[in-house]
Amino acid sequence: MGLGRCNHVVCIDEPGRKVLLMGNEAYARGAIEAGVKVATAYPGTPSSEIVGTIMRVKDYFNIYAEWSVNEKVAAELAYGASIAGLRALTAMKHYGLNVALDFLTRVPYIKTDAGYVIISADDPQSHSSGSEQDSRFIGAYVMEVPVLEPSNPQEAKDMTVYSFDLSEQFKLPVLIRSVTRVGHARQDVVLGEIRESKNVPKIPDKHALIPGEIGVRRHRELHVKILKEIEVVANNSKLNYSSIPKNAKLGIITSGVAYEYVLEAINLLNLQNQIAILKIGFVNPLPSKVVENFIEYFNEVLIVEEGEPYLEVSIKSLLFDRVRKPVIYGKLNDVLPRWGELSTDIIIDVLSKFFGMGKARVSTSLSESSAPRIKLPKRRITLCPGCPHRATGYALKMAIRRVGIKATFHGDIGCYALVGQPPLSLRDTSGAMGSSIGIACGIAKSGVKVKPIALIGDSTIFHAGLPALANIVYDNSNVLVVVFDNRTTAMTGHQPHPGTEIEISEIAKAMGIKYVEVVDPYDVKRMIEIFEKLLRIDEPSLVVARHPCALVEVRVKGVEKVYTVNKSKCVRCKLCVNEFGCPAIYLDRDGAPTIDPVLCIGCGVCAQICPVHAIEVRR
Amino acid sequence: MKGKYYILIAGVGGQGNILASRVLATAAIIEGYSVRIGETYGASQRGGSVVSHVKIGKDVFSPLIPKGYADVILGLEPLEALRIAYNFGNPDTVIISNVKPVPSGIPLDSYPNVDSILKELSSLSHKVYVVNATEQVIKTVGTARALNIFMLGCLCGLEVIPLTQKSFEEAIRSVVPPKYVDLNIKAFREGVEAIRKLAMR
Repeated sequence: MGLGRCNHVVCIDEPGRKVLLMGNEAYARGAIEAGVKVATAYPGTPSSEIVGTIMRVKDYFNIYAEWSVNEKVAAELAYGASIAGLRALTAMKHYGLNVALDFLTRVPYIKTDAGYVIISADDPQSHSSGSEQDSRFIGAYVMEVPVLEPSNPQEAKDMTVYSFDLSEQFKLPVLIRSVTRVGHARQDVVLGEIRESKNVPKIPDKHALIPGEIGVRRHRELHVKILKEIEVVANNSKLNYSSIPKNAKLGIITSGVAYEYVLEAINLLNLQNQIAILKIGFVNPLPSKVVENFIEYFNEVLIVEEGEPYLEVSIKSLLFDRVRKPVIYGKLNDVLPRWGELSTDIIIDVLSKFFGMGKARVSTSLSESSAPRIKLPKRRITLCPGCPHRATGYALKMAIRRVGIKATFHGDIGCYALVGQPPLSLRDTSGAMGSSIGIACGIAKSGVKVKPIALIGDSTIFHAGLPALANIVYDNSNVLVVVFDNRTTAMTGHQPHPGTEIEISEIAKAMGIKYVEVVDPYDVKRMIEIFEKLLRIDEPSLVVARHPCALVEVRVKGVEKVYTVNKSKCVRCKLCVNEFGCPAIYLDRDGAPTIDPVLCIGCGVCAQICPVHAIEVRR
Repeated sequence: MKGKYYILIAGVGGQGNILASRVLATAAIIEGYSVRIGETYGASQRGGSVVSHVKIGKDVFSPLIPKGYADVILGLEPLEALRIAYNFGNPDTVIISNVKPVPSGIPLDSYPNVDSILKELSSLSHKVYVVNATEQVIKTVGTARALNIFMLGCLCGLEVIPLTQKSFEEAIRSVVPPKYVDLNIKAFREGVEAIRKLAMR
């Protein structure tokens, strides 16, 4: 192993021992067991802890790990390491795969060398994303590479180890499709052996693309030879397995976390002897022989998978030319939903209908059996107490009122998106990483009488905002760009980014933006003045609103003072709750604003905005 | 003895759900059980509703507990305990709830009356234990941050799942950062005592 000691659970070098691992830690452990030497990522829920875990133990295992500027650069860096002879991992959320895809579609053509593994974490149910996506289609039909799909943390670890070997054998990337309920689940995982990497760095051979015939030839080779060979591997793989009870009436083909829901539903309904299961771990190339052998037994087959009907489309295509084929139920004929995430409950409902069991549930939730007597308000997620983004949003809102113009707010991806929540409500559009500036550009060019304001974070602007920033200068768009600079990638767990090394205001100036300001949003008066000035300008302008993330600042400095409302001065105007909305301020039983001394971190912004100076340091 | 135990830990982002579920699952692994946990990460940790699903048993599948199948609901916050009880509870579910509300993220004036929440909980299940946990943990260990482990103490002291205090404490030592171990062990033992006194009444 490496130098010194390591207390992290993924460092335990006892093959066979069971430890509690999060799925994302299990992916990291799998890469470590496989002797990974380079690991890269841009953070994104639900993938961040994969490289985040490796980051914490990189010195011990002598791994180069980094938070790259975006997923494409991360994928490229890992690829460079692979062709230089080192096993490399890159991990991302589903959106990140799209960002990296422009490069990744070329990789099967230019070939990898040492094992090159990509983990894409889909987010069914959009827990931490704006939309749902199934990465298996991208891996299978766009990248045309092997795709594996683990169903729990144990498989996450085991499949990662195997993926490195598979990639190295065929000189192709291997895509692992994760989902939130695998990456963010935990399980007792049996550890494997940590293999010392035998690979040594080397000057790479040629891996270049030339337009024309060579690309076509390689594409042909992939289909007539390489993917065919991998299909043989898939057909013999232990990653696919089946259990076929003698009297089974129904065959279920399933993969990923859906397999777990199927098992649980079958157990709860006591249908163990009546249902056969084929669990597919190797999802591309589809193990066609395994599927054909399985369906021989059944007149009816149910396909259960998380996300889009990927297996279902593949299996239906496979069986189309056959004379005898079973009836196939799944997402294409609305037996299962194509949106949201699956659950044991959904499978229980489908199976009890199929077996005519009526209301077969062992238990029914209380809300189904009787109407709740108390209305439960939803909890809105909100910016933290003391968050500098709230001060920036407040100042912007006030400046717009003073100038008396109409503005549109183009949001982006990060904590600061929460300025879109009431009472600030500064969010008219949002899209992908960096889309704020590009969309604002389009509003500016449409000629409508409105000031487009792009709200973007300090990590996001490096990820995908800079090309759009160049665009607003190049086409002279009347856009105000507000950079919410809290010195970190806060939403995903405070990963570092280039903005602490490269001054964003200098980039803006160098690009030719004439009006550039850097302000501390905790200085509300100045912040409002600067916004007022820039809102009156009909040219590109940019403000860096810079103050460290409140969570980080409290961790480093602690809370030095807290504030309180002097109720004899307070006139109950409620500006602090109705316009500013810090979660540390609430209304007491008499309707008077009150500050929770446990939540307050002493930023003092509310004291600055109070029109009658009723908010004071608590003594 | 049952073969499986389904436990839900309900709370608000920042109350320490994830640490509590890790300690509970680690204690179960120490006693030779298999475990599964499913929980909330990401944006909800910024003050939203969070819940950890913890499954303990010989064979447990999937990270989530099906609706109506909770054996125990551990509520770090009363409104969240009720929310989870409606969805996952049944009349035999044991509910242990903290009494202290956390109103973050709730629109002004719409947090229901706490007494009505507790009354509703008691009408849903006949095994409801309401603990003045936040106040007791601040009084005894000096910080509300150990609330999660105090509540685990309550779960342990009630003896509704077959894990010993020794395993819990070993789990705390292995999961909690070393400098906070003593504080959390103390909070855990206070929780055990608190629920025993309550259960005797």
